[in-house]
Amino acid sequence: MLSRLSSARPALLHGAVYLAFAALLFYVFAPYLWLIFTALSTQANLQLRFPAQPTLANIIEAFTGQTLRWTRNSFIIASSTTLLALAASVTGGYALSRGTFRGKATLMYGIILTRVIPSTLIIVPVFGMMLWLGLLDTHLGLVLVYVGITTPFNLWIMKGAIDAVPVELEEAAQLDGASRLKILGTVVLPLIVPGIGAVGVLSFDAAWGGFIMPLVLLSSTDKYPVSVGMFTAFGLDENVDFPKLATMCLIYMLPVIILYFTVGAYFRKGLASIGAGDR
Amino acid sequence: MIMAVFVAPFFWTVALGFTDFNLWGDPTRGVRFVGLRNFARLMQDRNFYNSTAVTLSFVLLAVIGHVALGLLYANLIRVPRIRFTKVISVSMLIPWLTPGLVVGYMWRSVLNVDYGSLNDLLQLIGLARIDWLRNYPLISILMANWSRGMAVAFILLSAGLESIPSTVYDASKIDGASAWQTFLYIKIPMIRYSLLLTVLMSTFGTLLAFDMVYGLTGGGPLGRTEVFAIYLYNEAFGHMALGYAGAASTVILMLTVGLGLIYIRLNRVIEA
Repeated sequence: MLSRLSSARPALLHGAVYLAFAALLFYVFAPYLWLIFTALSTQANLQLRFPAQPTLANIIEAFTGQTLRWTRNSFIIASSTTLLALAASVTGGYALSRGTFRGKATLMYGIILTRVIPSTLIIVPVFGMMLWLGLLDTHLGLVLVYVGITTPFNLWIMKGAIDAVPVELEEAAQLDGASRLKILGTVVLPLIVPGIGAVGVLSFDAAWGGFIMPLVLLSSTDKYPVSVGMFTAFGLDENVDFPKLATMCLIYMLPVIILYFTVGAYFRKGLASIGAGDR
Repeated sequence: MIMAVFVAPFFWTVALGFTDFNLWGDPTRGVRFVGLRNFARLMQDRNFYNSTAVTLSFVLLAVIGHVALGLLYANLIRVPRIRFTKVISVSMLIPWLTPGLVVGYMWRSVLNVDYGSLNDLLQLIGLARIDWLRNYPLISILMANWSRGMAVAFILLSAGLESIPSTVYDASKIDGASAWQTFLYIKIPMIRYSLLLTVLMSTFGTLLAFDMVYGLTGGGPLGRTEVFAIYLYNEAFGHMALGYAGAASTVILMLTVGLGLIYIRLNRVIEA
């Protein structure tokens, strides 16, 4: 009786589990299949169907004209954000980790607080601020906003990463007469590569993936990133150019996924160090 | 830098709420202080109440969905001798890594009444096609949101389950506990921190979601999916009333802080 139960139940259980796995795969991938099929066809609607005459024409076309310009804009915005965010978080994280100054604890909690306020809530004042600074409709304004949005969390990651670097190493370099900045560059920097990877990926993703900020801050078509440029696929009268839309969706989503699965190891290690460095 | 981009806007938002700053009036006239007028108007704004109701139900159901799906699959991949667990773990991540806007557009195809793949599937098993986006807009944005939000729950809860020592399972097996009892009385209490963290991350990740809803329904039909972020965007840049949107942002911010305080309280309760 007992042996029958234990041999029949796993088979049944495994069947149920694999059914649940299949359901998940359909749930997750049906939308992507449509996206890929549509990008490969010339005439498509919302139907999930492999194109009768698959073509790469849409994808080739995306490397010319406006789509190329928008992709380039996205790259400019995302990479400038990444560089500035790294500069701000490495130096700031170093100060927070090694420095002892008045109000440090308050500052750390203040940083968490800003993390809790969702960026959607600040679109109105950010718009007003950029209007006032004359930075509306510029990439510079947008990049500054992204650096500001990503910096609080980045600082925590960097502080954690630098906390994990033994202070003794720096003291040794100090005895040799190296300056603070030189120590940061030659001793600390090579040891916090995972943290840099995490900050880099997070900042790049935030700036590349951002949609509401460029939608609000940019007004000239030439300056749009891919995320906003996609709107041009929507013509008047509900007339949507689905192949164009799908192609731009692919351009928009692929860098993020590729980054995660390549630099992802650093990303996870760097994130783990926040907890480790928590003193 | 942070001060400039985050803290200043925070005070600026609050301050704007007391003005009639807008983008349509005479620009030379300047911005006037209007006292509590924006807040008074907000309290009578049916769209605001509608948006609050939509957002709260959306967040509640979204979080329940994330936790349920994350918990289910985090447990399923730990069934002994089960295969394809790596495939499932990676598949979980893909929608999470996809920009919300793209998820919104893709789900237009899944849910479309005439061509959608979900309706094709329903028809295949003998059910009628459903116009999801028109008749069940909230369920529509939820289905897209679950696919995207379950990843965080899955990762956190998997890590939580991973940390339970196997001796605990052995002990419960010797005591004759059924799989269900093990789940309810051993796994759940032992992963309560991961659970609370999941609920927290899901709540704040969904509360002011904009991109996906904008891509899928744009807040429609007739405001039935007008979540806070869409409402704010419409007021600020559709009606060009920045001062009024500032007042609305302030009230929403207070709601957000209130929710945060509830979680802090809950954290203390489960610690005790």
